[in-house]
Amino acid sequence: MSSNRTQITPNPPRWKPNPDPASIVVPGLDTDASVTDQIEQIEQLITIKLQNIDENFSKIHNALANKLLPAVKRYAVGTEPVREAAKFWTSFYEQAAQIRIPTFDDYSTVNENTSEREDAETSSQEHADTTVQYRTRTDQDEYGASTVNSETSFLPGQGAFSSTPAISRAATSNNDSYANQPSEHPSWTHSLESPLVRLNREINNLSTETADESLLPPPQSVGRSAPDFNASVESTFKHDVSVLPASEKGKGKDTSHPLLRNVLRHNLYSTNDSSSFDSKKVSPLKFRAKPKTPIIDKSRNPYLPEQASPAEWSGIVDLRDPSILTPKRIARPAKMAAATPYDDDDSFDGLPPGMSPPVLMSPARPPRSSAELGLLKLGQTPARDATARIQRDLIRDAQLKSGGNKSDSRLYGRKGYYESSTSLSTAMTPPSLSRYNRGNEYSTDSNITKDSSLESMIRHIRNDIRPDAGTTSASSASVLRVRSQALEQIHVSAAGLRVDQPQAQPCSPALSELATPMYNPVQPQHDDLDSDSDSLDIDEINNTAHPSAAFLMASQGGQFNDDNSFGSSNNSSDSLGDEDIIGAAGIVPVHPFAQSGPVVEDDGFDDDDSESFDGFETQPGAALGSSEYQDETVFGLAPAGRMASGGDLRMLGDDLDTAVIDRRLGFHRPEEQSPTPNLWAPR
Amino acid sequence: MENPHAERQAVLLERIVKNTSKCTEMILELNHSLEEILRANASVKTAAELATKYRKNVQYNLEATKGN
Repeated sequence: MSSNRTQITPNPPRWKPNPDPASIVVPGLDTDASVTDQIEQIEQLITIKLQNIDENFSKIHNALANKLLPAVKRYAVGTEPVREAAKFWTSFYEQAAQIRIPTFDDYSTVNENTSEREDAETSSQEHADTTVQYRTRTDQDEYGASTVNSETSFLPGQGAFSSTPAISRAATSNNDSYANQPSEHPSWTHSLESPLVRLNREINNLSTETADESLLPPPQSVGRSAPDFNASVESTFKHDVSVLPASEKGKGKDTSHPLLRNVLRHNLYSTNDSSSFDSKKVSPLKFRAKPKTPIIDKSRNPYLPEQASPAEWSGIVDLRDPSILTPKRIARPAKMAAATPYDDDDSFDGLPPGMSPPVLMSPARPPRSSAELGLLKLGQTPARDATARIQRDLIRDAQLKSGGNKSDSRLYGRKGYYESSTSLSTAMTPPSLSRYNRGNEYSTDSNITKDSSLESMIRHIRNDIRPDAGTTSASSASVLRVRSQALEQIHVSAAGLRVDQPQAQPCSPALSELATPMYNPVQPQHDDLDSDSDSLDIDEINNTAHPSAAFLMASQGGQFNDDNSFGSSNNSSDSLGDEDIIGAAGIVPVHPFAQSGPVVEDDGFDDDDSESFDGFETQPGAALGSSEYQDETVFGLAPAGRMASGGDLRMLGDDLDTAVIDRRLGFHRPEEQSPTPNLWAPR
Repeated sequence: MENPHAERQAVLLERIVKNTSKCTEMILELNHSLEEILRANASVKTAAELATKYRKNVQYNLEATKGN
């Protein structure tokens, strides 16, 4: 360790019991006193020693609990980005090499240890033998073997995994049963890897597979595959190798596995062929043998110059040589000749079957977790669900907005948002999370139709009404009345709305939901007002959310900047105070304070920064907390039913701290389409 | 006679035992956390190895094709 640390004093030598009682010396003992007194003294010494021991132990416990464990946990949290990066890079290299690198999660059984070790050893030997010869072939060879080695040495009982198609292509041996390997590997890897990992891989395969499907004429694929599969698994694989993207290879294509089979094949094969799969159930136990590295026919070497025997190939390929770029078609073995004419299909650009079609790597992107893809059910919590959905939608929105221009920068949906959201003129509002509330079917598409805007407004208002559940019937009735008025006005105004107009005046309905409306000035005429209100918001958010909300709302409303609104907003903190505003304005969302019962609002909002919310919730979503609505009808529950259910509905998203999430995600939401951009424009 | 001592010592011993058991638990927790960290770092190690291998291979390939 570093030398600046204090050296740990070594323990004193252990005390050994003195066999001779006469020679025992007890320090601190008054040897002159009587025996009884000495006994007393000894007892007291014992007590003191015990006390010291107890004190030491409690010190240890304290140090552990207060310093060590938190430090370790902080370290774990702090290194989380490193881990993510490592995960990304390993997936990057995996994709590049089309291999699978076993991680700790992949090993679910202990019984595979022996077979793994054997495989690791064989592959390591192979690696040593072929290092020089195949070094120039690809980089993936060494990845596979070296990774195996390291994994074996590093973690006990681990380390083996399937070899790479590159190795197989590199004429390691003349075994025709190259196709055997994948069939063995899949079962082996499948027995090892956790279902989650497998599912993830299947998704990746499926995505890459669908990407390449455009190359395949579907009918031909069907015709091609049907006889092959019936013939043997190997031949199927051989054909599939040429058809399926390279990522399929060596990744454990286990056609005997029903799930993988369905996932991988359903696009390629018609339903007629599915029967062939079912009938040919191969037990994974059959392939429990030690998996061998895939061996491919040497004659299928794409880099092999014409008329040269495979044995003479030096193994060195000059990639700069343009003549190498179009590998020549290799004559298939005789038994493949019986296959369908698909082999000679020109759509393959002359790629030999052993050659994987060039796989264009998707832009660098962290591996899409199954959870993100919505497939992973384990370990999914509503919060994670929500965050995943939010991320997806944000990214989608950003990409839509940018028109695909900066798609690269928006890959992670992070920085790009920041960069483009600087100017006020673009009027980007902080991302609105209300659209995720109540699982509503609000379209996340940036182009909002008027209808949806209407619906969103309706939902807004409905949501606003909800908070009044706890209030008196009178107030709620008034609110209802106002709501209906607002609805009418919305209808009227919506006709003249430019739907695409960003932001919107913070749509007052939005204000009602959010205690901290962050507001991006959209209308030029409101710029100054807006900026003021922005500062106001920022200042007041943490202090009292309500006044600012009311103020904003009132200010936006323009005319109905009644003193009532200010006064009432300042005074009241619940819905009762809104009556003034309502009465005065006759419109507008009414409630800056309207909060659905247990909802939130303050919870996540008080510490909210501008980036996390739209004050102006253009989204139908209503308050963040209020996503739990029972959407019985288009307009939601009947008001009576709504009241009856009481205000104690809790939202699953209640705990969702969108502020934190957004901040962590680093998002600035693209400017939101307000359903009623002009509704609250000053008259 | 030594009762008062014994009593006091018994109490102390009781506390000692309690403290030790708590310490043991904390150490177990520590072990678990460290294990998790270790597991996480394994992937980092893999990534690092991949990167070094890649670099090594690229270097070799470049050297090999330098003459051409």
